[in-house]
Amino acid sequence: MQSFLVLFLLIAGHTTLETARDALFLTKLPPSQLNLVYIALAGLSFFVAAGSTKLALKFGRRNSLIATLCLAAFATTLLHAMTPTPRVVMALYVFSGLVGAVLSPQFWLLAAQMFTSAQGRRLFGPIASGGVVGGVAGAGTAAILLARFPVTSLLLVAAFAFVATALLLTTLVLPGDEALTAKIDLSERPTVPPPKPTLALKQQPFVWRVALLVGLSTAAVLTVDYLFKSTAAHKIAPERLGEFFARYYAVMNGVSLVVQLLLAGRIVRRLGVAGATGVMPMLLLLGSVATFATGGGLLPVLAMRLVDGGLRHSLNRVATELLYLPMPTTVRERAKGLIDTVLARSVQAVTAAMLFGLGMAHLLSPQFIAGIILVLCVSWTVVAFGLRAPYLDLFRRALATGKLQVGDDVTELDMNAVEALVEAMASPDPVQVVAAMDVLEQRERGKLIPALILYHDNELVLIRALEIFGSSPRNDWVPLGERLLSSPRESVRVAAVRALAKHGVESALTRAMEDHSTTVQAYAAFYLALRSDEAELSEHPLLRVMVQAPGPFGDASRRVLLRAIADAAVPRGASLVLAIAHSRQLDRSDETITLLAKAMEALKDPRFIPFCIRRLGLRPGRDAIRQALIAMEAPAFDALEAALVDTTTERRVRTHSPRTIADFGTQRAADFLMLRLDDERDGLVRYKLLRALGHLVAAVDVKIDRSRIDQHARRNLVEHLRLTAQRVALENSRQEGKDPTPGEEVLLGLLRDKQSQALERAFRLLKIAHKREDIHRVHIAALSSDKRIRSNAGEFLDTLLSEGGRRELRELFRLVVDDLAPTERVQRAAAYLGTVPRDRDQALAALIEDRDEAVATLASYYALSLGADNLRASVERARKDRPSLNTLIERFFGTGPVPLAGTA
Amino acid sequence: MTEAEASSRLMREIFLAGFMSGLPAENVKWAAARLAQNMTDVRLHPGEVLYRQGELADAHYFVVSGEIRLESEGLPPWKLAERSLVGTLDITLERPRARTAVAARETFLLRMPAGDWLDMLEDNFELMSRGVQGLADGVHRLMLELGDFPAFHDLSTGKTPHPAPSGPLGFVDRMLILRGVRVFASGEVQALTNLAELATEVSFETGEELVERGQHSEHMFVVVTGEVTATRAESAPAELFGPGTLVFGSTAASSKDLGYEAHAAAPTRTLRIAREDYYDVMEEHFALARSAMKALAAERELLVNEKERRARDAALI
Repeated sequence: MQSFLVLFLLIAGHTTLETARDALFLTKLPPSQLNLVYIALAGLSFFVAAGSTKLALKFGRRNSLIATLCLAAFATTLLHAMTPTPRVVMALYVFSGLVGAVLSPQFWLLAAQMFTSAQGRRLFGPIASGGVVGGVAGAGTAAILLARFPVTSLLLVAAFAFVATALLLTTLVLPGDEALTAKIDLSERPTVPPPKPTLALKQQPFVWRVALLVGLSTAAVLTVDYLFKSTAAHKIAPERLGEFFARYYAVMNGVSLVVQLLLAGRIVRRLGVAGATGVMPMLLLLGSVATFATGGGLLPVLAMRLVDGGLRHSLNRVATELLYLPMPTTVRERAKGLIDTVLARSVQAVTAAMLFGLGMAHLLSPQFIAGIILVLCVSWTVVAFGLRAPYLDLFRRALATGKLQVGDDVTELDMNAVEALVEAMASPDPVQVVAAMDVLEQRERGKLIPALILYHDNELVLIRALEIFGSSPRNDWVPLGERLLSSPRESVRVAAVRALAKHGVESALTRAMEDHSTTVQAYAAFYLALRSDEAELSEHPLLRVMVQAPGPFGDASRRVLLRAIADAAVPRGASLVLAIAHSRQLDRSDETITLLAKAMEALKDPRFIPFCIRRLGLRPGRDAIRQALIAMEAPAFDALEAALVDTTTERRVRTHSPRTIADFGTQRAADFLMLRLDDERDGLVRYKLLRALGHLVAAVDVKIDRSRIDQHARRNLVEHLRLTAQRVALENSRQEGKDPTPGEEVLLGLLRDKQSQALERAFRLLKIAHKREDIHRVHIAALSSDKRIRSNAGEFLDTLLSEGGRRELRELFRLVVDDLAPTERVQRAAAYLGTVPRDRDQALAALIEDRDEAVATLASYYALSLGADNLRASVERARKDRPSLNTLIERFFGTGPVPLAGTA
Repeated sequence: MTEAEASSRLMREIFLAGFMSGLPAENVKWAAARLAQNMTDVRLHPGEVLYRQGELADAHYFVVSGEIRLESEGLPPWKLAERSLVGTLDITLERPRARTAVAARETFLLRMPAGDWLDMLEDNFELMSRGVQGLADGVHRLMLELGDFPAFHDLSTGKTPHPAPSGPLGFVDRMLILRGVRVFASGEVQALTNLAELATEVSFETGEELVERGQHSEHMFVVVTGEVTATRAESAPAELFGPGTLVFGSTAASSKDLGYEAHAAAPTRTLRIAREDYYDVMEEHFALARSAMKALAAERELLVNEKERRARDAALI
């Protein structure tokens, strides 16, 4: 309110001053002299702006504004005392321009310091309307006074308004400047020390765009102003100019007030900040076309000035001020000072000089001026509508400190990478060596691993190298591999036998059969069995014994067999794998199930699919089971689809199916997950579907119907708000200072969890729609206790969702993220929620009927514990209508009476 | 992707594979590739700030080379060298940065967005459970290292323990008792519902044994009424666990035998939870895992602060 009044008085005073200035100037001097004044004004602005900045830095923004107002009041009173000669009038014009150039930016910088961008979005409109009302009041007062008093009397009124504004400012309470600056810096990129201000400006492309916008708008409105004043001087009698300006300004400010109160907020909400900055130039563009077409007719000129006066201090001011808010504090302070004063005045000077030059050349016909306005407004419009992307980027940079490289894949190695990898293989750290070999193998560059690595003394390195060599077609390592058959370490000998057997080195198998280790022998036994006549290896007597053998020996033998099967990858091994999978002796450890899954992956027999799907519900070896299913391709995909659609499938299997489907990484997988997301009724499975879809979209380039994603996001946001409403109703009904009863505490906890889940899902959906954005960070920021960080998140979302057709989603996100009291949030959300519970009983009655059974159960418990008849009746009705709810209540709370509140 | 970017990504994968070398190969391959995809390089000169106290904790950093100093006024600085993870405590504790991170020398780090990290843990239970176990074991190691420092700290939720009724515990009582235990406190109500269902109420007479030394206990015990003492060695002072606490504190999440024995010091009622059930519920409800990590991280922070304080004091002497 104080900010509103300050701006009201400030603009009232300045409008009165401007009315007197314009009337006196055009009475005493020809319009062409306006250009000289503009140039002088621009030159002096540099010094005044610099002085203003120094003042602000030394004494603070509020104090500098108070000082400027006092100075303005003194100078205005002094000018009133002087005879209005042409020189004095010119001085008055320049002085009034300087006052306008300094006071308004000073005020808005003060406002930007006081409010976050979310608060700014909410409050700048009403505050700016103070300025518009002030304009109406100032012009109206001038019109009334001029009926009885001379024009110069307006100067005293202006001086009085400035003094009153200064007095009011002294009562304004501000947050500490230092603390505020520190807070704002929290959201900025931390990895580099703060740059010097000038450097920071150079590195801010957005600032340059805003500067261009302001420059073009300044040139355009100055030309409009010149056209307006020169037309008025030609068409209105000098003695009526004062009255004309006063009345016209009153009408203009009235229009501005209407725009401010009724339209500005809606336009900003509908078009977004960037879009709103494009409205004024588009209207002026139309005006300039009409002026051009009518050869400088009075009406289009008045209309253009009306657009200028009506929108410049309302819609355009609000939108432009909002553009500054996401800038880092240091950049904003400096940029705004430079743009609003130095740049604007320089542009004024250049424009004025150009108009002056054109006037001297007798080229300044109204049509020609209209043409200039047209060109300027076209450029202005283009720049305004081009602001969306950099504006979004600014928030992106404020919110995200690192770039993402999602979706890219590395298939080729450049020489630098190869060199680095070979260097890593020479590392004394075996872990690094293994990692380097893995990377080379994954990139199909295993041949770069030297055979000499088999001289390495580390067990891990040797085993991994033998695995890689065994799977490769190269033979240069074989002699060195044979040497390892005599290694003292059993694991190395097994690895050597495996690798050599894969390459058909018979001598290795012969030596392995003589090895003292039963594990090594078992491996060799499998390869020997491969030479037998049995159609199915499960029928081989020795292998059958190994499959059925009990105890640790059996476990070890089966693991060796599974490794050997995976290595050999012969279809005859499938029956052996199935026999092992169904053996009662099978130990279901992670290691064994992983080996089983790897054997299945190697053989790709569709008979494995039912086993794999069942195993998805169990932890051990699940990742390998997933890989096996993926290897089995379409038949496995079909079976997974069927398992997920079938609600009788074990829930644990259903919850792990979406991720498995996503790992197929195909468009079909994306389409199916999307379809299930629409239809799935189990909340946990739906959540898993959402996550799976998120990972698939992030990893693979698939097409997703964004409107459907938006619908889901909308649903989750509404759910979040619905739960907020229920919680607020419950909490507000509790007596102040009284602790919640156990039943209430648990129910409130559940509602809070559900709220967080719904919000998290909405953000996950947003991530699916915008996979290159770091939405998780926006989510964290939206939950931050720091208002400014939260506000940045809100602004980012607002801009991200400002494209057509997403207005509702944008509004919902704003409702959730904006800094509002819970009760106010619920009130604002009413339009989306239908019925909003007003008190505890209404909330409980609704929660007892909730489709979520956990919520309904705990709400029923709490309702019964309160002992109220109406609630008891609601619970009984719900138990009767929903047998599943009745079962849950009995499962959790038994069949006995539920204890009353406070006695549990 | 440019060649240079491809090279850095490969190097990140190698580093990560090394970093996670204790994990099963399948997990490492999957996790390293996934993490490397979203990582970015950060290079700092000595004295440069990585992040400041109070900032949003949105990422953690793997120290590839160099050293990072974590500073906060009034607290001993922490030094984290190669193969350390910087900033994870803040992410785990879901709070703004508690310290300012400054490069002590030329330092190369890999930045990992918090969201990707958490998603990866949620998607891979093996990694997540190993993470919880690793944290629990690390906390326990620190406890032993500090010796006389109170081993199982009162890192309660700050709430008065839920008063237990004299008769059998109702379902809501169980939930509220579990909610008062820090390891479970920020697990969602739905997770606690499952856990409360799986918990069994077990009573012990004075002197009766809950956990036998040298025998890995498959259960976790929450004290409802009474008191439990735990000793690690004959000479070590007994640790006491009263109503509303988990015997062995957050380290109870570890599946390892920590070498303690525990007895009822008075007639004691407990809620007994099979560790396997706990991990089963955790698999379904990631919030329960995060709650355990949060409790362990808070305890770890306390212990590391104490350790650094002692080191500083020793250096002054």
